[in-house]
Amino acid sequence: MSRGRLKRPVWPHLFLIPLTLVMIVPLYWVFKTSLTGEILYTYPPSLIPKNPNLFYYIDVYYWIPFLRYLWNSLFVSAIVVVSNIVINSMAGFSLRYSFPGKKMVILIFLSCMLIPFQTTIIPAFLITKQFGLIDTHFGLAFPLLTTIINIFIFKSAFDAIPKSLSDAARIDGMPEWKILFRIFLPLSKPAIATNIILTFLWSWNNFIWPLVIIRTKEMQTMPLGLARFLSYFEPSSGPLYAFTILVIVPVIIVFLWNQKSFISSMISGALKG
Amino acid sequence: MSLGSTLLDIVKRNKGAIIFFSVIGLSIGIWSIYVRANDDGIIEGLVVDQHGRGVANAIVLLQKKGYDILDEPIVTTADEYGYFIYEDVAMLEFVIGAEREGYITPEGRISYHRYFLKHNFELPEPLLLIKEVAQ
Repeated sequence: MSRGRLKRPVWPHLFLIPLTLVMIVPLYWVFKTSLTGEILYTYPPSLIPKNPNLFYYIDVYYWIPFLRYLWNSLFVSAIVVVSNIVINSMAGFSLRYSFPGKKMVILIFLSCMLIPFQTTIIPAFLITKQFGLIDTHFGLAFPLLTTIINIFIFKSAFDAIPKSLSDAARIDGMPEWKILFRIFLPLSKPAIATNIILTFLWSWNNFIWPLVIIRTKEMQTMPLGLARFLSYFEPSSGPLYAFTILVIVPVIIVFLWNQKSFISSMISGALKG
Repeated sequence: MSLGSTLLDIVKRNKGAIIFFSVIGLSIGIWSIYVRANDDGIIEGLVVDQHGRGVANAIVLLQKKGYDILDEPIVTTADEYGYFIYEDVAMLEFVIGAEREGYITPEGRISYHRYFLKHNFELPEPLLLIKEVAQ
C-alpha cells in the first residue's frame, strides 16, 4: 500500500452497484420512453432506445402551457426557498438564546410537526382566503413559508458555532440581525443547502395545496399540469413520460447544485452526540 | 477590494453554474436563430413512380395528425416533374400521401413529425406511386 493512501475494500461495491442499478433503472426507463414512446408492455423489452427522438418533448411544449406551469412552479419555489432561509434562520437564531418559555416554544414546534398537513388544510384555506391570496403565487407558497424541521436544522447548525464569535461581534457593536446574516449564515452553508433542497422539493412536488386553492389554468403548477396531462392524454406514453422528465429535471439540478453541502450537513447531524 | 476582483472571485467560485447556464443560453440562442430562419411553414417533396421518374399532376394530400382525430386534408397538385410544395402550413405532426388515376399507392400515407409548427420540411423520401398494369 502506498504511503498516505488508504486501501478501500472492494466488497461493498458488489452490493452498491446492483443497488444503484435498481434505483436508476426506473428513471432510465422513463427517460427512454420519453425518447421512443414505447409502451411499458412492448415485447421483447430493450434497454437501448430504438429510433430515439425529441418529438414527444415538442408535443408537450405545444399541447399544454408548459412554460406557464414551469414559471409558476419556479416562482413559488423561489418564494418558499427565500422565505424559509430568512424566517427559519431567524427562528433558529432566536432559539440559541435563553428566554422564558423557550422549552414550551420548542415543545409546540415539535408537536406541530406531528400534525399532518391534510388535517389543517381547511383552516389553512380559510386563512389564505381571508388574506385574499386564493389563486395567487403567494397563496401557493403560503403554507410553506416556514417549515419547523428546517428551524431545527438551523438551530443545530448555529449551536455548533462558538459563542465567543457572537460575543465578540456584540462587543464591537454589531446589531443582532447583522450577527445573524454576516456571521452565522455564512458559517452555516450546509444548513442553508439542506433548507434549499428540502423546501424546493416540497414546494415543487406539492400537489394537494395547489389543487385546493388554484382555480384558473394559468396558475397551475407542474404537478397539477402533470395530472391534467394524464387525464387528457392517457394513452400517449411518450409525451407523458417526456413531461415527467421535465418535471423532475429541476429538482435534480437543485440537488446536484447543493449536493456537497447537503451531504456534509447530513453527516454532521449524524455525528453529533 | 475592487469591483473587478470581486466579479472575478464570484466567477471563480461559481464556475460550474456559469458554464451550465452559458451552455443552456447558447443552445436557446442557436435554436432561436434556427427557428427564425426556417419558419415559413414549407412542406415540399417529390412524387415518383417505381422507376424513380416524377409523376406529373399527382394529387398530394396532407393531413394534420392528432392522437384521436384527423382533420380535413389539404390538397395540392404536383408539377410536371412530380414536385409539390405547401406553404405556410402550421402543423406539428402530419400524414401525407399521393394518388393519381392509373397508379396505386403501395405505402399508403406516411407520417412525419416536424420540430416546430412552421418548420420548413423536405420529405426525406419521395412519395411512391406504382403504375397499374392493364389487365
